[in-house]
Amino acid sequence: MQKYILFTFLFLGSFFLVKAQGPPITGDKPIMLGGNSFTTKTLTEIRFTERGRFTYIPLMLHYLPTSNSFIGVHIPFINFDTFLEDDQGLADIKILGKYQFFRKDFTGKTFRAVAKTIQTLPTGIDIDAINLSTDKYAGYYGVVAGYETLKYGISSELGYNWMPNGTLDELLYKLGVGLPLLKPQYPNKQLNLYFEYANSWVFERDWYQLFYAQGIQYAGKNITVDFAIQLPLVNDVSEGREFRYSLFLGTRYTF
Amino acid sequence: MTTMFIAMLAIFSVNAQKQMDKFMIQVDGLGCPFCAYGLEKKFKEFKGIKNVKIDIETGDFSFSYPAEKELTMSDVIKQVEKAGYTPVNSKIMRANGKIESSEDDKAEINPKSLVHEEVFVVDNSEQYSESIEK
Repeated sequence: MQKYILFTFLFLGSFFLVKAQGPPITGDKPIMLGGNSFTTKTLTEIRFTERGRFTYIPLMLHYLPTSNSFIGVHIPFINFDTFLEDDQGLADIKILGKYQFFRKDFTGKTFRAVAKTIQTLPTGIDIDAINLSTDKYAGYYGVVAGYETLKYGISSELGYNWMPNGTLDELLYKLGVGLPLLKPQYPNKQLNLYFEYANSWVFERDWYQLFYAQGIQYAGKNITVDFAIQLPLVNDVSEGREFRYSLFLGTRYTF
Repeated sequence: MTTMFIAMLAIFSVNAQKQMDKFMIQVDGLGCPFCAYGLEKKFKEFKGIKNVKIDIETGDFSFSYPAEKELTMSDVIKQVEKAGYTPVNSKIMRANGKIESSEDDKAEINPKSLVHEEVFVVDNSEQYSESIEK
């Protein structure tokens, strides 16, 4: 019961807080950087669980045909070492699409909302690692909304991951806050702190997890370097499947 | 000889300066320094753009552009929108000294300045039906 109350609180709370910037480390953002631009990105995750270690290294290519549309492809490589087996290879390839359907701009502030989909293709090793490698098709449909100002930013994401041939149907809710440590300047040189919460509710297994990630990011003119650590606050899953922590290391370059 | 060269260079430089139009736009929606990069990047599509300056706190965006290319206010506004931001007002200082402002354009289409006429038609059903039957 406690977990449902917590989930509801965070869900409803977000609509009062959601007037914010996109935390770009473990969350997503509704801001799109101009039309007709490419971004290459990687966000390596080293996940430690009761089962063992999973190192997930995606190569991400994002393209914005216009200022309100986005397509992307993530080609990930995975290396894992669990008590059952250790192996490495291609993980599930993901194809992403986003469409910005709402935008309200102010001086030095903006509120935006985008519809988002992720199509996960069954190309990975079947290790039942949620969001990493399952070798099963999944379709994610969600909404990302955020309010970004020069002093702070908040973003939230609500979505559902539908897996027709598996048991990982998942309701996801993320809420993140970003705070710049340096005075806003352009050409940009930023050092940002990110505080990100992620809720995951896997119905068919009756799993609920709440994660907290603390991240730091350096942003230059068209390049960023990110680092974050993610810890579980609620870890209500089957025995032997507990999440311990994840380390994230990412870079992105826009051209 | 050196003095003459410097003088020629200075004259050439002044002429080159005169050939540039200066654009000033106030842009809303620049909520982060990274957003300003998106705006600048979009305007780099205008070949020959120079002196790009963005004050992210006020949203003031300015640049120079070769006068012979005759970049219009409308082109600039469209480009800001294509970058994903909202242009509030803009001003162009042409190389020939002429100043154009989006405020002037707004003034020209101020609804209060338009002549407003209303035409009232009194319906006469019989006449109307007759005219249809004819």
